Amino acid sequence: MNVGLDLGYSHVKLCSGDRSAHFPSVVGTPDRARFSLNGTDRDILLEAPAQVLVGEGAITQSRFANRREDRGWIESEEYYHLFLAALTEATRASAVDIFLVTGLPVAFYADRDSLQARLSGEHRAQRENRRAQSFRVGGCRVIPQPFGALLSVALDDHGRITDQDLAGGTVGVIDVGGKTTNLLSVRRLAETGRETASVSVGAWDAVRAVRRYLDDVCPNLELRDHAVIDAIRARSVLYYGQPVDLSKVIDEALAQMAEQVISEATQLWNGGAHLAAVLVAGGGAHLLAGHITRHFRHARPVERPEFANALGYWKLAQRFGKTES
Amino acid sequence: MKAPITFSLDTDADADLIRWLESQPERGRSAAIRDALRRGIGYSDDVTLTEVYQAVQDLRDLVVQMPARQGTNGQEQPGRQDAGEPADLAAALDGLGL
Repeated sequence: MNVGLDLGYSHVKLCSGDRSAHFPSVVGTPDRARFSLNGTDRDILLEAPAQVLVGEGAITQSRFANRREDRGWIESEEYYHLFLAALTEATRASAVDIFLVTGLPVAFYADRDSLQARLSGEHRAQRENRRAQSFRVGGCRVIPQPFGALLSVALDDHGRITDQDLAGGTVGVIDVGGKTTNLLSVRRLAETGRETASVSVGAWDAVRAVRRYLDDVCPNLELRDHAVIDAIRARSVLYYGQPVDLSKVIDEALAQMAEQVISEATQLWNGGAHLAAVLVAGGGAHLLAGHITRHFRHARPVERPEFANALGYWKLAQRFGKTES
Repeated sequence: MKAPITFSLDTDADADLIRWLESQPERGRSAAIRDALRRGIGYSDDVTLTEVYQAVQDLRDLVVQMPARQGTNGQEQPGRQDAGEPADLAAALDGLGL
């Protein structure tokens, strides 16, 4: 099985052909609701190698939940549990051989070898009400994160180049993640190092801005991070049963974030006029794409931007992993 | 210690359950209900429908992955360059992550 895995600070995204998975990067204690009208079938409860609740279930049910944003994250237990949880979402098979492609933020790309070593080899996991599963990662490549978005549009499902203009040209990618925004410039599918950088701006900055606002305006309203994200999507939040409009604070926060990203990209790419296209990807693209496309007239958000990296990784895996008969 | 529990059944919607309960020997109804509940929630030693479904799913996944397992065991193969791909682009792609 070929797998593209984008393990971000905000969400885990996995693509494996017709199967995909998407859940919050949260690992928590295995506390469960004693009764649920909706059932708990969708919860990811790992019983081995450790008892942890992962994803949406951890947000809603765990007494203690962890979400990390530091560079050392890839060495942590939480990261490993998210990795295993993603694989159990990809398949229920008891024994699976995997070729894996994943990514690292541009600024942390030096950690590539240690991540590759950690993800390669045998892994075992067991989910509640399932048989134990064994995953053997026989091949693993770690590429700069935003490359995935470019590959998602330049390659076909067999990993062959189909968009010669993008693959053969000089393209900018703005990948707006949870914690960082990666700016990547690629010329003929090779990274232009001096035009590549990370900006410490991401979707969580909007969350923090809205949280500060809510602390002032709605005392006693204690929301977990992912609940604030839901409020940002809805642009309002319920406070003692009454809706509170968040449009103004959200628009202000996004304008400031976009200004930082655009300013860095403009400087890094010397205005960006020489680029054939600027692709906007990542979960934060939903928030900032409008601002970016207004500034760079040749910019465009990729399809399902939050999934673009995982899709691109999978397409690259298809090139090397050969799952075709 | 015994813990008597009462529950309701609808004479129309649950007619099948009422028929089944009435068909059980009067002195063995509690045991029959306990056994049925355990089977239903998967605590029985016998094979349950859920387990059969899980086994079928496992087989289906294995069949789907069969070509990969036979061909590569998840290991990396040389990149497949399409005839139409410029050599330098193919090489750049094949070198990604190395």
